[in-house]
Amino acid sequence: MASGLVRWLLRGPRRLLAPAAPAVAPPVRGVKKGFRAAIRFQKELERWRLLRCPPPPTRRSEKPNWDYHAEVQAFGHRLQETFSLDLLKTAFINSCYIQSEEAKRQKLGVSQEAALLNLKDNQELSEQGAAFSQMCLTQFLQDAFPDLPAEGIQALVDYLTDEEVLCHVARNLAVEQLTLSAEFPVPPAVLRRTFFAVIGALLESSGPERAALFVRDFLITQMTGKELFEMWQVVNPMGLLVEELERRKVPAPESRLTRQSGSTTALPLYFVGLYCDKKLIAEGPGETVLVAEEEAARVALRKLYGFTENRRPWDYSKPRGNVKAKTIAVS
Amino acid sequence: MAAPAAARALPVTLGRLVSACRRHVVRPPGSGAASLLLAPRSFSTPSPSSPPRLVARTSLSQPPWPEVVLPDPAEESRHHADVVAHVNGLIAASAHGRLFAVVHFASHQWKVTDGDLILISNQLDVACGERLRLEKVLLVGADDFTLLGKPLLGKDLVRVEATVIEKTESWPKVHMRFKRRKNFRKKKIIVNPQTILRINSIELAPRLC
Amino acid sequence: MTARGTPSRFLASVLHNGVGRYVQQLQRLSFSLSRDKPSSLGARLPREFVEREVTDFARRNPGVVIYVNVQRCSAPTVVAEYLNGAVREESVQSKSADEIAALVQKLASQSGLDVIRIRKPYHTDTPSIQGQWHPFTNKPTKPGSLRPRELQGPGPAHVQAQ
Repeated sequence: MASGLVRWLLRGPRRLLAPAAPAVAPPVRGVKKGFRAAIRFQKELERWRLLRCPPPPTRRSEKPNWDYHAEVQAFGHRLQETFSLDLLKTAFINSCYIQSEEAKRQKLGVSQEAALLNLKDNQELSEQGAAFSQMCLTQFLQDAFPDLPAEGIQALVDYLTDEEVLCHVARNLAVEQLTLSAEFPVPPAVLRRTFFAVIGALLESSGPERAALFVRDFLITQMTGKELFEMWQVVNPMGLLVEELERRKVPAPESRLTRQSGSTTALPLYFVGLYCDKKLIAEGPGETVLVAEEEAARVALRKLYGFTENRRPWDYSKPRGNVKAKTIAVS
Repeated sequence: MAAPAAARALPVTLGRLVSACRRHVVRPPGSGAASLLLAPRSFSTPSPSSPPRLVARTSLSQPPWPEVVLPDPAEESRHHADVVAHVNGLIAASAHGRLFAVVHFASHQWKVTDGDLILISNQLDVACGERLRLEKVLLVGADDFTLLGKPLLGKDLVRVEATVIEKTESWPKVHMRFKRRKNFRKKKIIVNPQTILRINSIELAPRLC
Repeated sequence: MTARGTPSRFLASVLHNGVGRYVQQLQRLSFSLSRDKPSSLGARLPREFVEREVTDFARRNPGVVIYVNVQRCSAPTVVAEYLNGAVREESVQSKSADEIAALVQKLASQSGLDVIRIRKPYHTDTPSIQGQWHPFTNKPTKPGSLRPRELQGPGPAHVQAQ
């Protein structure tokens, strides 16, 4: 009796201290009885596991149903462009892909000469495409906004040829799936180069006119709904406004508080108007007087540059004769 | 800006004045009228009573607002012609900015500008990517003017074009009817066809070709 | 039943489709059919579609890559892949050739955005052209009316005293 008690006492703390046995089986209470229900529950567990740690992304070409030639052919038809297929295929081949493939072959024991891939990378095409799209965008924007200074045009072009915008466009045109690169997911820099190479291939195969239309339809559209200073970071709009007004021989703006409301509350509102020659040129709201003044300067700049919200929308109609001539002159 | 000024119909203002006056007779204003007595403002309306009887200036004897002077009809018509010429000049030079239009389509009125998306809960017999012309235009407006149709604007004045970009289906809406304790339960899943249009251009007369 | 709790989105399009040019958003269609069940009607009807109408469809839509797989599968399916990366799988079991043609046409004219509740039937990037309304619209900017309310008190009293 006593020995039994001692044994129990000895065992007791150990059982208390020992960690709880890991639950191998799923919680029994929530599981419906029956074989089918158990299978269904296993599937559900699998789904939860996948949600918790999703598998690494794989290339589309490693999944079933992938015919590279057909995909490349369909790419041109989808965009209503006529590409020469060889150029388009070249445009998708990055140099990093060639290097990694050759390294793979050499690792498999193929001799140095046999391992060389007889492929041309898209370096040339992408440089061509980048230069063309820079020039084309600059020309388009200069035609559309003649009052905008050169820095502004450059800022807009930089925004449109930025990695973020270009990768967004490329991903939604299935360029990413067709790109041959060493790494996956395709790094933004490589994707950007590939997209420029596609523009270069189009330039080579159907001429600058179609390429300019391509740039207009897929890059200029990214400007819709964007405001000027979202794309062009201006730190001191008032200084810029004063410079602009000096250039136009207009006296410096005077800022006046025109309206205010709730200045002692948590949500104050001030309207500041800018006056030149006692004429109101712009009025802007803000939570403090300084913010409102800066906003008024931005409004004035937008008016000066012809970039107000109710400006004439971009003309996306089919090009007529003179526009064609112009785009040819651009290139 | 100028067109609303021209469109301001003065008879309407007069009518409103008369009704306001009647309301004032019933319920005279309090402090506002009293403070007006002290204000050094002279009412230009001569009192109708010719004998030199002194009448206290109250809201009953005189309305508490300055007299409305109607513009000369000839001058008004000249002003009107100026406004019309100005708007015509803007349209001819296409110096107006972005346009918007109110379009009657699919038994709804849509306020659209260039680049808008419209969802129509119906199937159109048009393939994706084709262009439509929306012909029932009720109104076209720019920054400085608004053209109103009576009720529609002419087809040779405005052209609103749209592209069909998607023909899809609505989300499955569950229509559940249930009566408790009556063994009554009906479930119906409704899916409507939908069409999405992109407004491409709104053009005014001289640009139409 | 209200729809408030359901997932929703606003009306949108991929890459401002249709502003410049229209791009068909379907990029790939894969049919998977079973060869081993020629006797079952549910498996035979999709085969009819594939035999008769797939080539016409492919000719009409050159931008769509079509794959037909004959493999062991319990139910014939069609998988549509869109340019924005969306994948939709539809079962075509026991559907006649016409029904499948309508289904495929519907898949081809969709954009790949989620089919969920759409909050508003319109979308605009420029909501106001004649200027947005705010409480100060058409209000005069007089210097007297500018003062905050606590400073306005002595103003009229002073006038009255005069």
